[in-house]
Amino acid sequence: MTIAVVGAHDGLGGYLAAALSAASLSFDPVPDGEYSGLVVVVGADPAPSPGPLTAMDAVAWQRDAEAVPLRAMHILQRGHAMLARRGGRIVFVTPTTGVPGAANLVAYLTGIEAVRVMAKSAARQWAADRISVNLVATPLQLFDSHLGQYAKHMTAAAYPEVDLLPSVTTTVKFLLEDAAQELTGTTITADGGSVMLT
Amino acid sequence: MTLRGLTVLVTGAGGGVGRGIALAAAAAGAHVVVATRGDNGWEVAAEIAARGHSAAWARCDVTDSQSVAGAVATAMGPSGRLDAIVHNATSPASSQPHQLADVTDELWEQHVSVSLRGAYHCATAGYDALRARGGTLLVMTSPAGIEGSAMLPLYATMKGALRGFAKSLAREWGPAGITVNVVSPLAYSPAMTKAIKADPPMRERTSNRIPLGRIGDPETDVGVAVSFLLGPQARYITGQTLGIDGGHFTSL
Repeated sequence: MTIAVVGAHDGLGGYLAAALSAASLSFDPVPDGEYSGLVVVVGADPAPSPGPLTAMDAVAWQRDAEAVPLRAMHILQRGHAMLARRGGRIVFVTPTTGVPGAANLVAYLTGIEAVRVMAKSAARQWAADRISVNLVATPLQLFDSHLGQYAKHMTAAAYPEVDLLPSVTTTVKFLLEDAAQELTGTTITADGGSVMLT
Repeated sequence: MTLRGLTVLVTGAGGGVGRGIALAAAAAGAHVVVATRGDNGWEVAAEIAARGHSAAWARCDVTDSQSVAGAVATAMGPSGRLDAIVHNATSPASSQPHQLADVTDELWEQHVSVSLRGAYHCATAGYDALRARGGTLLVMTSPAGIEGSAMLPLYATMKGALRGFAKSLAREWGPAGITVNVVSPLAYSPAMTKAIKADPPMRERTSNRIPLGRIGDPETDVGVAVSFLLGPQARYITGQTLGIDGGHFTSL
């Protein structure tokens, strides 16, 4: 199994690439090469610009709300071209905060939720090609430690103090396994038990 | 329930669910601004006036911030107030099946410019007016926006994004007294009517999947429920998605 992690080279994306012994690729240009699985970290790059929506200009809106899902679509399309002949796995890693929403991150979380539903639609369309598409949702601060302050309204985690990175890695690994072929379109929340429904 | 004295702006109100919402809000007493890109909004406004209710038409292209600002100004004209915005407009491409693998950036732009950028334009243009009296912003979703769609992935993406938009904005605008909600309707639309005309058994197939046994009416089923969300009795409801669909989708 050859895996590529698409997303930030450092932070969560970098950690996952190292933990999975995977290639670390950037979003731009759209990744080349042949892999049996893609892990796409969405939400760290570009870092959002927190603030009120009404203070956000059109350029910032398009960067956070529109360009992020468009780029995810390009990655999905590349993944489909790569995997359609033999099947494979695509796993998105996104912040949980899109589920309850958050003030000052309206555009950013609009883009994140767009990606989540796009992944579900891809899962439905590409099951016939034996391509599974799933998501792992994990706390916002893992994508950018400065963003944690915008998620303080979220329900306290059942395991509040644990290092979640091993859990995220294990969950991503599971979704990349052949045994998980028929598991598709789902969001597994690896957040220590905060968001208990998706 | 009454919307008497309130002003409501509805985008994409030239037909289908948008028209139904405009008719129902006007019947509940609101002055309704029928905002449409095409001339059909004028006809809806005239229909409302012919029923003895209050309406105006604003030509409005939601992809253009200045156009949306103009519609808001039109709404503010008679009474100096705007109490509710319903962003119902969707791209004409939204009901055309497509493969995600084949989607071009041009098709993406057709969807995103109306659904998402349009919501951004409505929110930013309407904020000051909505804040003045504790108004409400409503956007539209569908089951596809919650669980994805094999037939309409871009439509689903936009509808899911709008839920994310609304939930975050509800949190952001709560302190200003503005509510933000989402409606997931199932009712006759021009696209559905056309599809049923081409395939008459579709009506029964669709109805059989709805616990209440019928496809909703845009005005008397969806419009009146939306009017409740726009009105004074719903001021403690925000950040929510309400299915107005005869019980069709219960997996929320």
